[in-house]
Amino acid sequence: MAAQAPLCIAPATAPATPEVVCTGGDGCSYLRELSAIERIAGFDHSARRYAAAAARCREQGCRAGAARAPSAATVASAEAVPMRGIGGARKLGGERNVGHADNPVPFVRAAFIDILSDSEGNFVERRQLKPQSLPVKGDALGYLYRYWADLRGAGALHVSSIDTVHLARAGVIGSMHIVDVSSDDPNDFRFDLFGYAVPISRPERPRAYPVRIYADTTLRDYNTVRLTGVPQLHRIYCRLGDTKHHYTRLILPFLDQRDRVTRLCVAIRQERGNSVKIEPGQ
Amino acid sequence: MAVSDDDASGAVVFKRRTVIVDGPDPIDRHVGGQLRLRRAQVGMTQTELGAKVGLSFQAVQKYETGENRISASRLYQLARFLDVSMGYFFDGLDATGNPEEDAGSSDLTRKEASMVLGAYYGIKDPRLRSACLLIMARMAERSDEEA
Repeated sequence: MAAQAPLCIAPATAPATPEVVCTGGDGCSYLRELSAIERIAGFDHSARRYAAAAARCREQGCRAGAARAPSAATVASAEAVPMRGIGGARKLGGERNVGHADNPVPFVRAAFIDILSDSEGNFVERRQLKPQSLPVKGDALGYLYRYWADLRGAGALHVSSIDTVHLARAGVIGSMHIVDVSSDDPNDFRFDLFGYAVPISRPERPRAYPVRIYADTTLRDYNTVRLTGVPQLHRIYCRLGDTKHHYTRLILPFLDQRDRVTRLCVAIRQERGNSVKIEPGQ
Repeated sequence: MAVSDDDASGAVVFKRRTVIVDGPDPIDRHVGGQLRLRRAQVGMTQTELGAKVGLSFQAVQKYETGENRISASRLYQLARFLDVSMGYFFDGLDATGNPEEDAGSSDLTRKEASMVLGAYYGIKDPRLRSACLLIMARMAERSDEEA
């Protein structure tokens, strides 16, 4: 029999970066996140083993460090992706967009956006896109969406069906949240898991995001997926305080044993210009 | 696995354990957990492993949760494909079939102990060291009494 493989699952899509030093304060963030996902999926045995390995992990070449920043390849491929906009959203001037659902929209120049702003200079710009238009290969969100669609096709959209090997292959561990939406009141939605590599300070609940318009739009999108059971894909560009964020977000619903949507898997792909600090006065 | 119970006369009565009533057997869950761990270690999805042994991914998932028991022949097949010995699936079970002390918690305990030792010998003044030892001993006595 061959020697045992290491416990850490290396994402197949991520480049090998043996020189990266583990950045987890009290153990490997990547393994701790794996442990949390296993616990949420109901696999306590493997959750404990991952947690134990995370506590031990002090080695170089940690996946947590590699996943902290998006690779150049990811950003480049994201820019070239032609995605399809959702019909029915309003143009900037308020004019209704009709009958363009099937027309490919060059993503960066798409005019169909929702914008909210407040008196403190914060704004949230959201463009809804079709998840089906995500590329099949070479894209983390595309891989994840297809995996979710396969599960749906097999009638296995339960949280316990989540296979961490697929998440590792997609390369979304660290940039993925799991949200508990079992409450009927969106204000009570809470994060079961908040991706360690997402550059926003972790709130306990989406309602607790410091910028109200951002919290409102986030909760609205989460609640829409909870009520409809249909995944949503958004490209989001926003200013929150002194930082601008730019990312693509895929929200996937998962069911409990009574087939109610009680958990959302929210995967984030950071885009170019994400986490940019704004100089005072700008 | 059968579970035993005492009837009114004190005689031990064995009844068949069912997944619906009693939940998965702890040993089946342990074996399933080991299967899941090993599959993840080799980077194989449930679908890929299922295809190797002629199962659907749902069947593999049920093995992993312990909801379905794995037959001896199937376990042998799985061990071959995952390149482990049959004993691997039972690692961490004690003689009575219960999971041994969790590896994670024992690791953490070891880590805590080494931190305590490091802090203790970090105190240069021997009188302070012995005072700390005394405090810890008293606290341990007190928690024994409370227990």
